[in-house]
Amino acid sequence: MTNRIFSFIISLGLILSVSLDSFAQVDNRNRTVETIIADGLAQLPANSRDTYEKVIDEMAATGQKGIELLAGMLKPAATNQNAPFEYAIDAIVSRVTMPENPNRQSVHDGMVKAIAACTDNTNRAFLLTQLNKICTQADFDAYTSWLNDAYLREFALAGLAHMPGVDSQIAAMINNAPKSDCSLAKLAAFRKLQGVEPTLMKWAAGGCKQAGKALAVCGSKASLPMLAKAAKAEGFTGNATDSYVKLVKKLEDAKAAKAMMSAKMPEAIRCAGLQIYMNAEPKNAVKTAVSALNDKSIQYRTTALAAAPDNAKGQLSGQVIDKFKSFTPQAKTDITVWLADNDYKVADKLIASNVKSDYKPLALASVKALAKLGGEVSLETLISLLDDAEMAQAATDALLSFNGNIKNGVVSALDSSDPKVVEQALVLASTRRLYPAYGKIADLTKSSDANIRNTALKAIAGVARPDNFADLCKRLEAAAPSDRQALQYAACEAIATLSPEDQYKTVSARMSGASDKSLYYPMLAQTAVPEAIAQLYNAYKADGNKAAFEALLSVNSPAMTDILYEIAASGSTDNDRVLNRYIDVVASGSFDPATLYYYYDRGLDLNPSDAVANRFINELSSSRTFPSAMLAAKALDKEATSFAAANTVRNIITKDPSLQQGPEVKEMLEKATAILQRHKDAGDADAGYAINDIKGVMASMNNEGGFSTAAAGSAIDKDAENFELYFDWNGTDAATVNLRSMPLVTLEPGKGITYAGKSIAAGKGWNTVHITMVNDRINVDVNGTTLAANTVIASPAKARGAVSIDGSADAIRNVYYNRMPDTPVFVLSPEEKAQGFEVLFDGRNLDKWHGNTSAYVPVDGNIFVSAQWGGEGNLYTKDNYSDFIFRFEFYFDVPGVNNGIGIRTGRDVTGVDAAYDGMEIQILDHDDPIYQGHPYGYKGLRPYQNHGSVYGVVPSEHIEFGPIKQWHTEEIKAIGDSITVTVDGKVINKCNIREACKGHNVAPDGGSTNPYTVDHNNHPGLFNKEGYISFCGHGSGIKFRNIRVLDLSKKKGKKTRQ
Amino acid sequence: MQESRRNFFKTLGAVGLFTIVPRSVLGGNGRIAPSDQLTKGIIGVGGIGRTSFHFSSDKTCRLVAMCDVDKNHLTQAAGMAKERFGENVSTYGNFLDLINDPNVDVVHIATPPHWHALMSIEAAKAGKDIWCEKPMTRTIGEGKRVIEAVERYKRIFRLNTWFRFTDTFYGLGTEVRPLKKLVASGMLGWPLTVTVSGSTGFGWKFFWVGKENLVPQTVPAELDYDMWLGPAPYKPYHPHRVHQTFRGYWDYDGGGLTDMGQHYLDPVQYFLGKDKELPVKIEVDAPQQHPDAVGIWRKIVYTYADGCRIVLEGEGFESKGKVPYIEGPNGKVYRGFECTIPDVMNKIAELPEPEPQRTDFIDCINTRQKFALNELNGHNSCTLVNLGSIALRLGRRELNFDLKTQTFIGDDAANALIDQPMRAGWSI
Repeated sequence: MTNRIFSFIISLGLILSVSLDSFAQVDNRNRTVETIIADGLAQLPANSRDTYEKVIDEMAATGQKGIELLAGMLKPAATNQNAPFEYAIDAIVSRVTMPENPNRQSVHDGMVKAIAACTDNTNRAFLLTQLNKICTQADFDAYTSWLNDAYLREFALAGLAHMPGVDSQIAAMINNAPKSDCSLAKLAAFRKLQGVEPTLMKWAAGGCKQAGKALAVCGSKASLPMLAKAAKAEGFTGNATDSYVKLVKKLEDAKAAKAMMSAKMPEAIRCAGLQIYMNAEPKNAVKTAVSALNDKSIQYRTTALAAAPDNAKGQLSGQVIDKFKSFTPQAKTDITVWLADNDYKVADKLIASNVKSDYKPLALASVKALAKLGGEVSLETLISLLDDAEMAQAATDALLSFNGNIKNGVVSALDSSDPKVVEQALVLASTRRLYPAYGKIADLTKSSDANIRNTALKAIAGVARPDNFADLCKRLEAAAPSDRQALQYAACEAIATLSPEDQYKTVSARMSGASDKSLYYPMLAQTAVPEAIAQLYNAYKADGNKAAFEALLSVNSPAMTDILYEIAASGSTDNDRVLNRYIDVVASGSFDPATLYYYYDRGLDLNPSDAVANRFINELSSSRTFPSAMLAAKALDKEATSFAAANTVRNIITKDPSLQQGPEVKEMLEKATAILQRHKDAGDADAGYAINDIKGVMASMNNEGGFSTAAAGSAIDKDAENFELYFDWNGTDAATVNLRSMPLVTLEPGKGITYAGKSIAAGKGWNTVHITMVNDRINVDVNGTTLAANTVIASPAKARGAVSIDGSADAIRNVYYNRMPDTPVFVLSPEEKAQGFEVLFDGRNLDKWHGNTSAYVPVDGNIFVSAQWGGEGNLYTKDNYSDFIFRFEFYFDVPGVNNGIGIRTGRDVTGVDAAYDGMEIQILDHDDPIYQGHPYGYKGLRPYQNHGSVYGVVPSEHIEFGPIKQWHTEEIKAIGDSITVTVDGKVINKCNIREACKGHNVAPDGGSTNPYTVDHNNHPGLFNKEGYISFCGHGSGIKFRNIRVLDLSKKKGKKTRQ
Repeated sequence: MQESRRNFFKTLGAVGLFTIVPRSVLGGNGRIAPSDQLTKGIIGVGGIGRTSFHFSSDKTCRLVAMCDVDKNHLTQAAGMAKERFGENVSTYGNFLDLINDPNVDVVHIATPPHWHALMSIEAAKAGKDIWCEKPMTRTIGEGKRVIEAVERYKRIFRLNTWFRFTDTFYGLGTEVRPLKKLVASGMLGWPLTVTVSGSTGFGWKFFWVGKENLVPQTVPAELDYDMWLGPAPYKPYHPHRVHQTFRGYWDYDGGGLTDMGQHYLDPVQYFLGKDKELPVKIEVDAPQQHPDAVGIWRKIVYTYADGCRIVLEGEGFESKGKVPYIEGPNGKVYRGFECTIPDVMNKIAELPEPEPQRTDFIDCINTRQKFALNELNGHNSCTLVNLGSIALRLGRRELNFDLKTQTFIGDDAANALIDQPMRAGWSI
């Protein structure tokens, strides 16, 4: 890969997101329909949106033939394996429904044929459902024939529901039908067909209810008497009535509507009639509404108000305001609500006059209406209600949501002589943050009226700002003990808007002169700065200071995780509160799953009550690791914690497929199911969902392998290669962890956990160590902190060996071990061995390589280029090669992969572009659409950029790779100037690089020192005698394996440079 | 509907005395007289219908009837009603019988969504008030029909998701109310982008995916499968289609998107002030969907005409790093109501409260006032969800929506999904 191509792909990606239309052609690879369909199926469901559209467009372009082929692949539904074909057919059909898709007709024709050829009912129904999306007028006859098929009839009707341009044909079918056909009547209703009314009336008269329903939509005035009769016959309640009402509404028939309003009619019908009538006779709407307001039915009255057309509302409001007194209290209530909902501010005085109505619903509605209307009258009225025994609460609620500013009214109410009014005003001032009221409220905290004093103490926090802090402190120092807490809270609120540092400065300055410093602990706690926390903790440790203890429980800081743990571990008087707070702090932080496990695991060690233990267990759900699941599983056996544990086991295991393995997991899921079943039986529906979830996992999980419990002391595994290990260490007794018989990780008190000279100090309580060893890599983390990640194990490293922990059972607990499969090892064939090939990569390590060993990782026997670990530059052999045969296999894991084999490349590890500082034999998924050119920019790959080309120097013959995710073999033979590239057994490039430069070998400046080639670039390293072999590029998504080389250079005793 | 017993009582009490007699006096022992009490019937007592919030019976509304197409569910639930409330409820296998039971005032619909519209409309016809679970309807067209029926007979309709008026709103960490005030104040500027994602505290429950390759199985004796399907197309029975896993199939619902969509999006619609407005553009990034089984998706973006956007990020495809839940030109609000505007909570407290919402369903029924989340705004937020699922099902990257005609622009296949015909015997 070269930087040029790379940057160009990036810019191309941007262009591509605009339009992909130009990639629709399918024949550019000369594939047959069969091949295109097979290729397409292999790529579905596609892993990217672009691939998906490309594949579907290619498949759709095969048209009739391709669709028939696909439909033919459907197997009988009873042996159902049809998903791949259903995906493909649905995708193709959906795609051709896009406007002006060129393949629509052809795909459509294929669907029609496919249905005719299909014999399985379920599959025919599926295909017909698909055809329904693209059916045309021309299909009408086919559809009518399917109407005679008992199984397909429903699906055909669904197609006819949307078929374009067939209204008259369906109408004719209905009118010519030999007998009543209710499903056609339903179709008529769905399509709102015209010209079928007489037939439908005939059918309806014959007892077809669907025909009656259809008349409501398709009918005219002619149908009214018939529907009215049917409605009457059922007592104006039921389907026929609904059809009648619908038709009356559609026709806006005032006379019929008026009849529906009769007092003898059911309430809902009366209301429907009233609405229709008011709309049909707008001139009478207001009069009708006003008279309806005298009705006994609230539903009828509110309908009258709601049904007033917009242009009649003004007149109606005028009338109801004028005649307000004449209405019943019930109607007055409805009118009040309506006036406020429609924002008739003009009615404020009228509404205000009813706030003390004896009819309570009217009084309450009036209060709410005033808040909605706002304005001075409303505010005054509501404030005046604050002294009303019955209405004060309603008035306060209304003022909280008052439409407008309430400051003036509330602040003056604080001066009221009525203590009730003052109390309500205090609540309002505080809730609405009326800061100018601070002075008055502060004075009221000294009121002789105990109720007012207490309310003012609660209220003052709502209006306190930094300016008020000093005043509040003065009051606090002078306050009675019972008043202190409220004032402390107010002082906290006063400075809450300052930065933590400024808060600390403010509080410290005040504290230094104070005689009782503990008064300031809550404010210190709020700052949450380290100095404040230390001050509080020291005060607590000195003599168990109660105020310091309380303050510590309120500090919001991740630093509290350790302090709270220590307090609980040293045995406070109220451990449950401490641990609850500990959980709050941990749960609100952003910790990774391993750290969460460490925190919750050590917390559970401190003997919490059942309630707190259950909180711990519930919170463990957010740590989806095996040790967390095991910790929860241990709580399954204790009745008090079993339900929380069962839920947590479910949450952890069912949400992480990588944990769904092994007998330990199976056992915990079985136990959890039994516990959840008990709760389900007791009526807890959520437990049913949980069981369902678990059953789904158990049905498909592998019961072998996975993690198992182990112990320190004896060997955990006698001969392991790849594995994952968890354990907890107490932090106080030394121990050594032997990995593949190498004492790689040491645990020492004071020093902590050490790997390769790097240490992490032990945390408080049990420390959780997590080690993964795969091939030549090791990962170590401690309590969620990384000690080693994707690190190549320092040599001399053993490829396999025993796993054990040397340490006492008291120092090590919760040992979980997962042995992973051995890595398949590549060995040379006898022929290659005889020829003298050397294995450069056998699947297990990169010992013979240097450079970017971060992005190039041995995984499952392959070198996998992964973006996970970062890393820059290329991967180089340790040795130099001049003449050689280099053989390997490669695999595109994602579409469009771009890599390359650098040969005879420069000495430097980074900053070398092999295509110029040596040469690069291109590796490229060159048939991916991103390389196929685009009308707005890139013109497509040049032949000298294809796979197998000597990049920029000699083109290769185009090779077809077929679908991605397949292995390909390659050989690069380099002897002097002669380069031969063979892929999958086919020679695609055989050239002489010196001859290839002929004719190009003069640069634009006239110079000819460096090889200047067909790509109009200098390739100064082209004729290097020797150099590294390298993999160029670190974009993810390619795998290599079975890498070997035969060194043909005359020179013996190669030099190793690194 | 007959003159209702409760109204009769109220008229007497109020007109005759002009004072309010405490209900306890009339009923004795703190009980309300049965004639002044509403009654309800639940349709669907398998999953959600049996959870405590829904399966209730109290002073204001008594549970008197239930219906299910699974005899086991029905028997179990009737036993629960007896045990918990001491009620001998009427049990029905056909929902029409429950709806037409004269003892039932309120019909509570707790079935899979493919039934919601049909049952709501039948209940409205019968003069019953309606409590319907979310999502409101499975298609946009069905939602329109529900609005028409509720309007035709002036019923009270409650769509049951509640975050626009109560309860901590997932990742926001508070109720929606302060955010509504903040948005209305204009402090964040305009237009706004709202990101509903695991990284802002809103998970999309991708475990509700369906299964392909279901091998047909025998229908269990206790289940009336034909009635379970009702208006949905006939497909051979498999237990994964029904009961607690139905959300994974397009015929009945639409996976996590439609399960959580209205919970998450209705409050967004509320605080953006878009109860009567729909987006003009829907963009979807998703892997291919199976025609029957619901799959997952990566991203869905709704854009309104004024530039406001709602971005949904699928489970596992969340943006990395700190993502604002709501972002405007002048400020951002993150998960847990962390805001770039200093002292925001105090500033919000100074603002007037939003217009009070009518959230007492029983009171709405008694005063005939619309519930806070009703057929109109409920249909609007349900349509948001359905716009997304239409684009998903057709594999569209983008759909454009015409607000005037309420149809998709230039896409007949998408328009055909607005109104979908029902199976034989069922229509609305």
